Amino acid sequence: MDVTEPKIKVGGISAGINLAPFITQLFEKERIGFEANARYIFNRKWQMVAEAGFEHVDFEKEQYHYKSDGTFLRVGLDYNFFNVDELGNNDNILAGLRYGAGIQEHESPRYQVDDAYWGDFESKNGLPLSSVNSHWVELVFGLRSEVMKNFYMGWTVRLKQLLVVNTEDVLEPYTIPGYGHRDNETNLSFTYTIEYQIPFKSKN
Amino acid sequence: MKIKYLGFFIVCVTVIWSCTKDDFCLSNQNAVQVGFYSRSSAEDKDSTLSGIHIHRVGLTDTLPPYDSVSVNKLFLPLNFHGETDDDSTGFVIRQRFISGDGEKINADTIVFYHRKELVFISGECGMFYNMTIDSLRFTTDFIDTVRTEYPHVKYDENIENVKIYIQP
Repeated sequence: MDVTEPKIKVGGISAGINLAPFITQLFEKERIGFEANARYIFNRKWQMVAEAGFEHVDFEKEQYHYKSDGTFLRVGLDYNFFNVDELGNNDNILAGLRYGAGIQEHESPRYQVDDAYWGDFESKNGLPLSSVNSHWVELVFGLRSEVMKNFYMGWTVRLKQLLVVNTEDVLEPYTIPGYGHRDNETNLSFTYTIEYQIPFKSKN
Repeated sequence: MKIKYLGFFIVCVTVIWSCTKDDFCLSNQNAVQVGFYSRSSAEDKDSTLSGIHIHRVGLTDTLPPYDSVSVNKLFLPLNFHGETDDDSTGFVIRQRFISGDGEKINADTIVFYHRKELVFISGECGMFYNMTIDSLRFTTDFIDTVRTEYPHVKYDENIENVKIYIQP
C-alpha cells in the first residue's frame, strides 16, 4: 500500500492579500485601500517579505475638505520561531521587521479657520495639490497557519514608528498609506492575510 | 491552540487602540494676552482695573466679556480676515471710575500691527493662523507705556504677549 508521508515545506514563494484595509473602511469610510504581499521562504526559519498597496482618502469636515491618493511599499524579514514537532505542520509563529515608505499627493480644496468674534474665515482657493513622502519602521509579530494545502491564513500585529514626513507645503497628511494616521508618531495596527504558497522544496 | 486566542485578543486590543481619538480643538487662540501693570512699582506687579469696557475701533459693540468688569488681564482677538498677510487690529479700552468730582471715563486706543502665518494643527482640527505682532501704537489717557514681551500669538501657547503700564 502506497502511503504519502506528510512533508514539511522548507522553501517557497507565496502571494496574498491583506484584508485589514477592508475592515478599516468599516470604521473609517473616508479611507479606501488595498494591500498585497509576496513572501520568499528561504528555509524553516527565515522569510523575506514585501508588501505594497494604495490608499485613497476623501472627506469633508466643517474645518476642511481633504483628498489624498498614495501608494506604499514595505520590505523586511520574518523569523519563524515555531519548532515543528508534528509532521505536516507548516504553521509559523513570526517575528519580524519592516521598513516602509509611502508617497502620496494631497490637497485641501477648502478650509475654514473658526473665530467666534471676527467670524469664521473661509478660504477662497484652499491648498493646492502637493506631494508627500514618508518613511517608517515596524516591529511585527504574528501567526501564519496552513488551513488547506498550500493556502495560508495569518495575522500580525505591528508597532510602527514614524521616521520622517517630507511635505511640500503647510498641509500635513491625514493618513499615510501603509502607516496609518499621521498625527500618531507611533501606530499600532494589524494585518489579516490570505496567501497561496508554491513550495519548491520539501522534506520528509 | 491557545496562541490563537491570544492572537484574537491582541487583534481586538489593536483595533480599539487604533480607533481615531478625537482631538480637543481649542478656540480663541488668536487672542493677544495683555497684562495690566503699575508704572509706579519698581518691579512688575500686576494691577487690577475696575469698570473696564472694550470695543473695537470704529464700532461700539462690546468685546465679550469686557462690559464694566474688573480685570488684570485681557484677551484681545486679532483679526486674520485681511486680504494680505500684514494687517492691523485696534481696540478702545474705557475705564469708568468714581472720583471726588463724580463719575469719570478714561479711554485709550491700542492698535496692533501684525502678520499672519497659516499652519496645520492636526487631522481633526485642521488649519489655523498664527500671528506675529510687528509693532503697536497707543494713546496715553490712562496708559503710561506699552511693551511687547513676546510677539508671537500661537495655537495652544499660553504666554503673556504685551504689558500695559498704567499711570500712577
